[in-house]
This record gives sequence, structure tokens and C-alpha cells, in this order.
Amino acid sequence: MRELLASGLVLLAAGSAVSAAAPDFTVMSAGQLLIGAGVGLSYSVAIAAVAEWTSPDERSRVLALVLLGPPAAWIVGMPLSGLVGDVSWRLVWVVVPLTSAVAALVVLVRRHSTPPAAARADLLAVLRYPGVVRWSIGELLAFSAWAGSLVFIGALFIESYGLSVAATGLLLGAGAVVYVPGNLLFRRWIDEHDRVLLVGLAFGAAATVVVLGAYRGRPRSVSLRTRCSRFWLEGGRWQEARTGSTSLPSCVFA
Amino acid sequence: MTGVRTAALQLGYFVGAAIGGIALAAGGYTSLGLAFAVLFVAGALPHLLPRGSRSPKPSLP
Repeated sequence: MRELLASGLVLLAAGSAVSAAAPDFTVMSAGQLLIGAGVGLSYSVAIAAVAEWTSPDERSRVLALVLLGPPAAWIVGMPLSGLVGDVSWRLVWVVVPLTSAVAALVVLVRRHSTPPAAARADLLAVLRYPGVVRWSIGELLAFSAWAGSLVFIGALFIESYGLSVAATGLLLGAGAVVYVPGNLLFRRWIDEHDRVLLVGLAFGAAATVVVLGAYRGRPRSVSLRTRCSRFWLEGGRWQEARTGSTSLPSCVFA
Repeated sequence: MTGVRTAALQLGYFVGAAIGGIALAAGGYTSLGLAFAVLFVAGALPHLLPRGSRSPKPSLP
């Protein structure tokens, strides 16, 4: 587990270094591939490590803290990227992802290694369980919408409102802050209304991205409010998808 | 399930960026917003469809 997590972080650090030094778009793309592999590996192993490295009593508390990592990273990373990006886009790769990956590696090295798991997970076997494919397709589509809007929202702010890179980073960080209360607020309603919340929040997020795309050129506060609304809804949506009892295939709880 | 969800997340970055790029090139930010709205709604549809009769609580291996 520790070695896998370290591999993910090394890939992330290497990809960031390659991106920072990229002389052309091809090398930049190769760097992004490394980063993608590193993020995917470290994210999935980190979640699995919670189960292995914690006792049952502390597991849910530690998992909640771990799951707050991505929004916390947006809140810190996006404004920092914006501020550094005004100096040089190459420096962004060094200051944010490379430094963070190296810091995480330093923490990880201090931890003892654990033996490999006795049983191997079979992804195809998991997909054969009733409801898993349907649930996975829903997650893929929703993640695509979320990730896609995250990819393009910075360009929208810069091109539509003429914002600087620093201002855009600060704006994105401010929007990400709202993710946390959305996440915490909807948690209390999940047990009773999880499917209604999942569908309602998705429709709410759909409405906000339409407004973000269609009403450009209006006062920035409109877009900021819309963006905050979207993050708030998404915070609730991801919290619901993670823990909602009826939206997840029943095998998750077995 | 963690693996399945992480795969959906990582594939989502690719699919979202690809669809967004196509929509942006085709019709600007208005199309981009509409494309992502369609994806959000489509992502909710599996949860609106009626459940099959095969919905016991199986145990994963």
C-alpha cells in the first residue's frame, strides 16, 4: 500500500516536472499523462489505505478527513496557482503539484510498510453485481460534467470578463470554499432523501452550468454567485454519491 | 467499488474535457454549458429508472 501510494506521488511529481520544463505541446501532453496516472493511483490507494491503516473505531472519522482533501486542495491550490501563474505558468507546476507531491512523499516515507493484501480485488466480478454498471455509468456522466466544467471554467472567466490569471485563481478558490458547507449540509439529509437529493442536486448543477455559459458579459457577481451555487450543489451531490444508501448498489454495503 | 469509482472519476476528466472541447469549438460557451447540463442530467437518469427485480444485497468476494 505504501509503495503504491509512493508510486502515484512519484508519477505526479515527475509529470509536474516534465510539464514545467516542457518545450512543446507533445512533451506537455506526456507530462499530463504522468500526472493523470499519478492522481488516479494516489487517490484510489489513499482511500483504500484508510481501511488498512485505521482501526474500525476511527475509520469513518479518518475517511471523512481524507475525503475533504480534494476540496481543500482546490481552496488552497487554485488561488496559489493563479498568483504564481501571473509570474510564469511553468512555475505553477513547481510550486503547487510538485511541491505538494514531494511533501506527501516525505510524510509517507516515515510510515512503515505493510504486507500485501491476502485477497485480490476483481473489478470484472464487481461489475457483474446488479446495479453496479448502472451506478457506474451515472457516476461517469456526472464526473464528466463536473470535471469538464472544472477544466473550462477558468478560461470562461478570463475570456468573458478579462480577468487576470491571479484573479481567476482567487475566484475559483472562493467558489471551491462553498463546496465544503454544501458537503456538510447535505450529509444530514442523506439517510432519508438520498435519491431525491442525488437527482435534485444534479438538475440544480445542470441549471447553473447553463446559466454560467449563457449569461456572460453580465456583472461578474452573477457568475460568481452561479459558480458558488454550482460548487455548493456539487458538494452535496458528491457527499450523497459517496454515502447515500439507496443510490449506491447494495453490494457496497454488504 | 473504490476502483470502479476512481476509474469513473479519471475517465470523467477525459470524457468531460473532450466533450467540452467539442462543444466549445462548435458553439462557444453557451454550447459548453448546455453540453455539461446534458451530462449532469444524464448522470441522474440511472437513479430515476426503475430498479430490476434482481436487487438483493449480495456479498462481494
